[in-house]
Amino acid sequence: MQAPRQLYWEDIEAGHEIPQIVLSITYEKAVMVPMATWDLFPGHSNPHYAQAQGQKTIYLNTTVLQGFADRVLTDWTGHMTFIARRKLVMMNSVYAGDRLIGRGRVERVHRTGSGAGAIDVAITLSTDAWVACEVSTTAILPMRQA
Amino acid sequence: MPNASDELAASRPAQGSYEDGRKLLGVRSPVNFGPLPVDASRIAAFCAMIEDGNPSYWDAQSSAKQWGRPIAPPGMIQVWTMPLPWTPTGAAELDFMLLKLPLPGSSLINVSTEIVYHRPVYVGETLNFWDEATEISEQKETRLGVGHFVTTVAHFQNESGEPVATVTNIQFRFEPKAVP
Repeated sequence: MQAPRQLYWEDIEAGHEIPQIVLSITYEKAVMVPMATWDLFPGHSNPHYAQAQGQKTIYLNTTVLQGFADRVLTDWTGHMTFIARRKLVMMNSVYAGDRLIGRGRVERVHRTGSGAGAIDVAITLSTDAWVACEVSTTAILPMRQA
Repeated sequence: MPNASDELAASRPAQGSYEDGRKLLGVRSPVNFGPLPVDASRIAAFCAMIEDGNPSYWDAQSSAKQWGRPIAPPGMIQVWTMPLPWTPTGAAELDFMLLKLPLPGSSLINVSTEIVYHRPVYVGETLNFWDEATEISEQKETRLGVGHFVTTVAHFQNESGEPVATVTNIQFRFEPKAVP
């Protein structure tokens, strides 16, 4: 089995683009949201409720978007990445039937107060219709010179 | 079959005036205990949903080597304290300020969530949280309707009281505009 890819803190510079990833939000995926998260708020599972809220149909919850935003980063940096902080700002909904697209850019490479190697990343989650979320994440990466 | 208005009523947050809501600023909710420990099957369902192949979530041995113990995706932090809609001892419900804050508006939607993680979430631990409302905006109008932006801060810890994460959430409590 091939060793998983891993970037180290020293490998990364401000301005690095994080490769785009895409997820099709099929109705099967939408059904898995309450299954995996136990979030039974009806806007995520009942189209009639979602429409009464002014939405097109059922939409993804914040937990799923958090997970996908983290995946945008860790697919690139590798599994030895610790998400230390993430701020996710909702701008528009992601509906069942949409394509969810994630991409990002490294904003800053720095050390934390304890000397750990950190990066600040800006991630955008969008659909074919609009930007769904703007995400800012701080992650701790392993260092070659630990 | 339940219709949208039934579910709208069932998920309706506490109703009251802006002044009623402001009286509860800074008041701590009860502690909400996760019903079950963090477990691999729900991690697998979550990762399958978002197609996340991170070995830290799929390979317990690899995860333990890297993190000391197998871990859960950090994005799942709120998942571990969600109640089930039925148990043999009755339906459990979350008792937190976000829903019990009396305000105008029958609906709510998340606006932003900022989470600071103090450490990874480990498989096998059981989390709990309490929250408090720290800010309520004056009335605002958005494309969804008229309402208030509510900021709450939730503190997540494990059964031993070790801090795991701090979640600052902003939600919009609003009355939906009539659908034409």
